Formats: sequence, structure tokens, C-alpha cells
Amino acid sequence: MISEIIIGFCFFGMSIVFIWGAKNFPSPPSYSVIGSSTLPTGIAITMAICSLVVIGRTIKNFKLKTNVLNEKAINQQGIIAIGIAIVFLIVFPYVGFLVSSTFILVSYAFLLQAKKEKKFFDTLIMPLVYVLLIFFLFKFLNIYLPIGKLFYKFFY
Amino acid sequence: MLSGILSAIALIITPKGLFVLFLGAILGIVFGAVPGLTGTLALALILPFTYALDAYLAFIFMVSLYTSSMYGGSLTAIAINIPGAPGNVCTTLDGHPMYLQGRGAHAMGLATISSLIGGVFSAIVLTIAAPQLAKLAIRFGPPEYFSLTVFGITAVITMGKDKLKGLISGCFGLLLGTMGIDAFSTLRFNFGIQMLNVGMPLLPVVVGLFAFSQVIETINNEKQDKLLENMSSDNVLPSRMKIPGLRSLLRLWKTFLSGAIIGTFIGFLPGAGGSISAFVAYNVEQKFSKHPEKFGTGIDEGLASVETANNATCGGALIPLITLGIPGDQFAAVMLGAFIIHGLPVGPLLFMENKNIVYAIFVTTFISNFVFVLLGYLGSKQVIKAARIRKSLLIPFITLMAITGSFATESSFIHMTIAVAFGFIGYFLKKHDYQAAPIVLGLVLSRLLEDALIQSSIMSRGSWLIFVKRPLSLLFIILSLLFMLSSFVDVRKLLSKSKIK
Repeated sequence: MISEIIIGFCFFGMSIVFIWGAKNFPSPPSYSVIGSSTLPTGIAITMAICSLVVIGRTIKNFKLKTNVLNEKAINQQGIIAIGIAIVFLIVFPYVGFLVSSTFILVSYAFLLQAKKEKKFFDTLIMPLVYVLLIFFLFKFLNIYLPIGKLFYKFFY
Repeated sequence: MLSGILSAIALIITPKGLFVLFLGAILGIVFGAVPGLTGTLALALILPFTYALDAYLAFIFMVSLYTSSMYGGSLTAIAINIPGAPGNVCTTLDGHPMYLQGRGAHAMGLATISSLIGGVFSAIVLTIAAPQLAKLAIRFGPPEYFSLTVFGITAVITMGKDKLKGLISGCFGLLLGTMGIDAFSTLRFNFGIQMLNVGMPLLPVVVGLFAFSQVIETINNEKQDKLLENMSSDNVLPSRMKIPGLRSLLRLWKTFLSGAIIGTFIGFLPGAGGSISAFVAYNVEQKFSKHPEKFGTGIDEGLASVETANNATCGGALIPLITLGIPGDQFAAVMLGAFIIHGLPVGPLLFMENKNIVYAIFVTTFISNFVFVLLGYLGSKQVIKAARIRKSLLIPFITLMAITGSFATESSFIHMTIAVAFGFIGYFLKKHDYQAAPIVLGLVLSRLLEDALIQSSIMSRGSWLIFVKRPLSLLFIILSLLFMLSSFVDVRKLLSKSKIK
């Protein structure tokens, strides 16, 4: 229920941001009643109203104990996966494609295996194969994949 | 038309054309078969890479992927009782019982031929109907485009389980589409990021919402993989499917015809798709059957109706997409993005300026059905084995494709960040019954909607009556209202009162 309400408030907040931002847009020109702010404001107001209704409905269902979602939105593995993706984005500009992609692929392969069985092949070999395959394929196609600021300083 | 079709055939039977046709079919069957993966996900991953192809090759690939992904899911639905895609849920009802009775080879053969018949039927309808609808669309002005866009978005929104959340998703997509420089050269909502001056990029949003969110969902949800891994390896898969004889196929001609008509019609309706058409076709077949009690026990009619309707949606969904720019289902919504990426217009302009693409789509929609029949016949056992591939091998590869696809098209780290961010957003929204298709559709159609609205207001000097005074515009408004009203009557609940398990 809480996550449902949070998402509702996120959409409501987004609507307010867009309504507020649209206030600063210039007025419509003389030949048109529709201006730069018309559509974004209209859509944002619609979204704001719908979000409030969804929030109200969720609270009402919880009080009536109907349609209550007991399942968690995300478990520990999912949170770790998101954390790994954030770390990937942070390090990517510095260490480049090869290192950061290997990191995220190895991590995800590790997470996806059963707790008792961790296959060396799945966890280390195949992610490396995938990354090298894509890297050299893109090199062949003259598509740039960055090597990262740290390695750039080192090599150049 | 004949010369156009012959030119398209000449384009397709080149080495490059055949390569992309077969590659699309193979990927479509595999992605359709593997539970948790869909043709839409495959398209989201491959879309950035189609940049490198000529437009006609890209569309041959995409259409082949589309038709084959609808078919691929039937193999796993029959053999291991796990539908590869939502459209194959009804396939399990009679397909798997047939398999358990030792008639797996027959079931797969019947599913294959049924898919072929449905696909060919809708391809013919597409080829005949689309040019006529495009001629009608030439008469469209800004008011018609505005009302049509509203209708398209309304239809997609109201087809979801939760209409209110569908509306929020649609509004979210529309708001994303307002970012960047507008028709009045006003810079809107770029939040200080220069790259967003040209608007929210479509590709990373699609890759994030469909591909990256699926990665997180799969990592979060271990149970699905355990189910597949725990499947007994004693499950004997038929080495080759058995194509039914002509007599048994002729016995089912009414089933094929009704499934094909239902599938094509429902595919034509914006926002519907394979799962709804399969559901409706099964229900209709059962209702009119002399032995409704046999449905669910492994009856040929049950399987044939579902698979025919499923594949018939492909051609149907492409009709509004290429003639009006309104996608018939999720896959078509992402494919609409492909038109934009390749700089192609949709609607009558496509027919006027890019006839080779149009006829390539028509011919591929027809030929690809035979391609997947061939591949299915030769490789069904391998496809089902592939569906049981360890997720620890598959998901890292999908992650890599998503990362490189979102980065490589513009060599932009910001695009990659957007893809990952929308992966998180898409995951949480999906968990709470917010659909991704309305977001994509809203993003794609936002500019068209706004430009049409502005032009209409200039034409009418500020009067809103222009939308109801013009007959075609009024028709689309009435259709939008009907779709909205239909959301108050839950069609699924009405249909589920039948004897379907």
C-alpha cells in the first residue's frame, strides 16, 4: 500500500512541477488561443487529479481491507540489482565500457544463480565473452565505446 | 499494386533481405518462446541497431520478428505448459493436455498451421485494406489528426486492467513528449540538460521501459526460473512436429475462418493485441461448439482457434499503424518509434513517398509466416530447449544489449542513464499495474497531438466546434467516448462468465 501511495504522490509531484514550469512560458501569439503552456498544463492537471484519486482509492481499499497488495514491490535481490546499476552509471565515465560492463554483467550473473550453486562459467566466463564480443564487434563497425577517463589518462 | 508487390519480393529475395528475414524469424521465435521475454522486448533491444540498416531491411526484420514472436510462444505453451507470451495463455488450455495425451507432435503441427493460416489471412487483409484506408486518410486535416490521436491514446489506455492508471501512464508519456523546443520555439522542461533541448529521446525510454525493467524483474523474481529449471528433464519432447493431414485441416475450416476474422479485427483495434484476440476467439469457438464441455481437455478446435487468432492480430495491428500512425498493440507502438527513428512518416505520406517500404511490409507480413513454419518444423525441439536456458546466461546478455543499444546510437552517456532510469521506473510502475505501452504511445504522439491542436485552433480562430463539425473528427471523438464508456463495463468479466477455466 505504501509503495502505491508513494507512486501516486510521485505522479502528483511531477504534475505540480510541470504546471509550475508552464507558468513561465510566453503567452500564446495573437493568431492562436493555444500556447506553449496549454497542453502541458492540461495534461498535468489531468494527471494530478487522477493521482489523487488513485491515492484516495488505495487508502480506502486499505481501510476496507479489499484489494490489498500483500506482495512486496521489490525484494533484497531487486534492490541490489538497482544498486549495482547505479554504481555502474557512476563508474562508467571513469573506467569505460569494458570494465563497467563486465562488473554489471558478472554481478547480475551472480545474483541470478541459486544460492548453493555458483557456476564459474556463468558468473565469470560468459560475461567476459559477451563484453569482449560486443566491444570488438562495435570496433569493427566503427562504433565508439569509451575506454574511460582513468584509462585515457593512463594511455595518452 | 502488383508492380509494388513484385518490387518488394525482388528486395526481399536478395541475400541481405533473406538474411534479415530469417534472423528476425529466429529471434522472434526464441523471444516468443522464452517465458518472460516477448517480441516487444526483442524489438526494444534490436531497435537501436536497426539504425545501421537500410529502412526497408529494418522493416523486413521487424515484421518478421513480430509474426514469429506471436508463434514462438505456442511451442512452450504446448510442451511445458508455460506460455511464452501473454497471447499464448489460452494455448495452454488445450495445447498442453494434448501433449500429456502423447499428441504433442500433432499439437505443435496444428498450432503451426493455425498460426500460418491466421497470419496469411491478416496479411491479405492488410494488403487490400491499408491502401484504401490511406486514401481516406489523405482527407485528414489537423482536426482529424487531433481526434484520431486522442482516440488512439484513449483506446490504449482503456484496454488495460486499471483504466485510471492507464490514463496516468498516458499522461506521463504525453508530458515527456512536451519536453524540448515546441512549435513556438519555446524551450520547455529541459531541466538544465542540453541534450533534452531536442526532447526526451524515444529509444532509451523504450529500451528502459521494456528491456531493462525486465532485467530487474527477472532478478527480483527467482521463482520463474526455478519453475523452468525444476521441469523434469524426462519430459520427452517430440523430435519433429507432425503437420496435420488435409482432411483434419478441412474439418477445422470454420474454426480457422472465425479465428482469422476475430484476430484481424481485434488487431485492428488500437491497444488490443494477441492476448485479447486469443481469449475472444476461444470463447466464441466454445460458445458455438456442439461439445463445449470438451474444451480444455485437448480438443483440436480449442488450439486452432487460439493460434489462428493470435497470429491474425499481426496484420490487423499493422493496418492502423501504417495508415494512420495509431498502433494496434504494444509491438506496433514500439514499431511506430522505428518509423520516427528512420525518418519515415506514417499515414498517407508513407504511401506517397515510401511505397517500397509499404510493399516490403505487406510482402514480409505474408512471407514471414512461411519462414516461421519452416523454422518451427525444423527446430521446435531446439526452441523449447532454448526456452529453458539459464537466466544467468540470458539476462546478462540482455543487459549488455540494452546498455550498448541505448549508448551507441548517439554515443551518449545521458541516453544510457535515461535507459537505466526508465528501467527502474518501468519496473516499479509494472509492479503496480501501470502499463508501459501508454507511456511510449504518449511520448510518440505528443507532438502530433499538440501540433494538430494548434493548427486546428488557428483554422477555427479559437472555436472548439471544429472537432465536431467535421464528420471524420466527430467519428473519432465518438469512438473515443465509446471506448471510455466501455471501461465502465468490464468486458473481461463478462467473457469470463463462460466455461473457460
